[in-house]
Amino acid sequence: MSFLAIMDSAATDAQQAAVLNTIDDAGGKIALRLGAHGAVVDGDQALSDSLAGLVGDGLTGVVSSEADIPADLDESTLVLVNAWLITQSPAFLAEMADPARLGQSWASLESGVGEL
Amino acid sequence: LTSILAPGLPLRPMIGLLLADVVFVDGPDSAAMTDQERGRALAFIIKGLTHLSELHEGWRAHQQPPVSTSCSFAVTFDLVSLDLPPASLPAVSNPKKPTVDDFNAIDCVWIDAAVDALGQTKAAIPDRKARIAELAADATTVALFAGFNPADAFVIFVTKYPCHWMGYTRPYPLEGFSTLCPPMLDASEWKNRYDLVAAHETGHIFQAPDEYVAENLTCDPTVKSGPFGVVNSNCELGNPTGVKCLMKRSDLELCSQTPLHWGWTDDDHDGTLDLLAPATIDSFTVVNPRLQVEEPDGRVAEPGWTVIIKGRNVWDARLVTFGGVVSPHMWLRALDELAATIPDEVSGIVNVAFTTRAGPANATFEQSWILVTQPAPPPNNGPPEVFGLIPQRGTPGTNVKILGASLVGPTRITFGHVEANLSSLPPEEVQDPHQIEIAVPLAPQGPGPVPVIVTTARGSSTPSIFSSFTYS
Repeated sequence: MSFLAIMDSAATDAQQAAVLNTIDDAGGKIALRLGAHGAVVDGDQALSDSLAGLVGDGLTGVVSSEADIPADLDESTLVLVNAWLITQSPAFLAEMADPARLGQSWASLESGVGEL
Repeated sequence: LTSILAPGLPLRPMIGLLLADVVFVDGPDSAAMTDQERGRALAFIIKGLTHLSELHEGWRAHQQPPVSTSCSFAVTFDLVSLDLPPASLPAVSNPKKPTVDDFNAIDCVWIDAAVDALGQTKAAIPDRKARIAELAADATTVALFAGFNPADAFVIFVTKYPCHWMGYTRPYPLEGFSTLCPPMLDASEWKNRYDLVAAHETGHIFQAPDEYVAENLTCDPTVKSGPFGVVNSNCELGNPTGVKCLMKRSDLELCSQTPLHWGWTDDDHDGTLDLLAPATIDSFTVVNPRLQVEEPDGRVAEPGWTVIIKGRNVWDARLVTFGGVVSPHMWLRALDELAATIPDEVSGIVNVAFTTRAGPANATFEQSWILVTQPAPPPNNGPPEVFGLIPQRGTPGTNVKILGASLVGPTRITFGHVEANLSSLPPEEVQDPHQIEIAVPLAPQGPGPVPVIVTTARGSSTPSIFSSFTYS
């Protein structure tokens, strides 16, 4: 499963290290960083719960759904978090599951003046 | 790692933490994007970069031995609102076959305006390529999640302004950006497939070529690309044995060439990508810019002179420092050859250091020292010179390094009036002209300083405060 970890902008080096160690120790990994404070984490529920224990101690939130978004999230991080939540929505996942997406020749994209 | 990138890196391997700076270029009328449209475009780009991370994970896990994870992505964004009316831009001359003139007359108008609005003024940086490189570099100055800085950054423009084409990349040696035009994509079969388009276009940013044949574009199996100059042998032109690949079709698979185009190889099988091996300092060449005289293996220079550093992976250097002072100017001469100007404020024996995406260069002080003095003595084939000792203090038997010039072939080395034993020195043909390592002999007197003098067939060094060894 994937979820977001939102780092507190005031997190100390030690707190940031603790977050990374928690992810490493649980066999999780950071799949993608979102702006200055967000990260998509691949891991299990136990890791999500462990990171939730660091909210207020380096993290401002662990987000799996819109309801988890911290109230005072900065605007830039909020845009990125909402965009990631779109990728987790049933409608988006249904689009991704369409096998017709794959195997298409890029030829129909071709014809500009860069590489296409 | 440092957050400062060298604009215009000669290579763009898909290695390290890579930042996609999505620049939404908004405008009036039909160029206005809603929050919902921006959010959806950003979601597709996030998904596209996730595809690339997953392709890397799959590739690295199948190497023998498996390579450590060497590629990940980050996303940030800028929003620019322009006053430019989209109706003021011309139409594409031939929508099925747009030209460079179309690109210049349409896309470049809103791109230049957007880059200006983001602070990269034409007056300061007149060249579009340099301005976009600076725009990407600016995005790297913000530390990402957990304090990490990106190794490289690239720009993806997303706009509803007219474009000459729906999705394209201008890879190095062009300007090095991608553009996605949602309205044109929505009007094509690529609707709802921006993620695949984003992954493919990002593949171009990092120097992988197309592998397909189309009406107006034919891949060339003989063209060499990427940091290792690998031919495009999965190009589908007359190639019935080709395999699925992201650069050929919208497949989330890789052929064997694309990873090489992205710089992914571990030829020494140490589990680390070769391009992620720490840089080394193999040699210096000192250049007096006034006389344009190069001194290979030089170790003495003046402030303002150039030092050419040769070594592995120096192409990826970002900052060069002399004794901790940042060089005001550095440039690449070759992939294994970096030049840097010695800062004015540097003096004495200092170490030369630099950082790449793999971290600090892997060099000992003995490999990286240089004497900065004014005026620098001319290179000579005459008497030896001693610039310094490491350590400068110790007891008899201590191994001391004598740093200097013209040190090959010592016939006598004295500490005070006591001769050191030269029998442990290597044969003359492999001796270093800038360094001798030798055991300190018995003290000529009690504790205290004594001059160290090196004598060769060409004479003896002149004692100075730098060539004094203190017995403790």
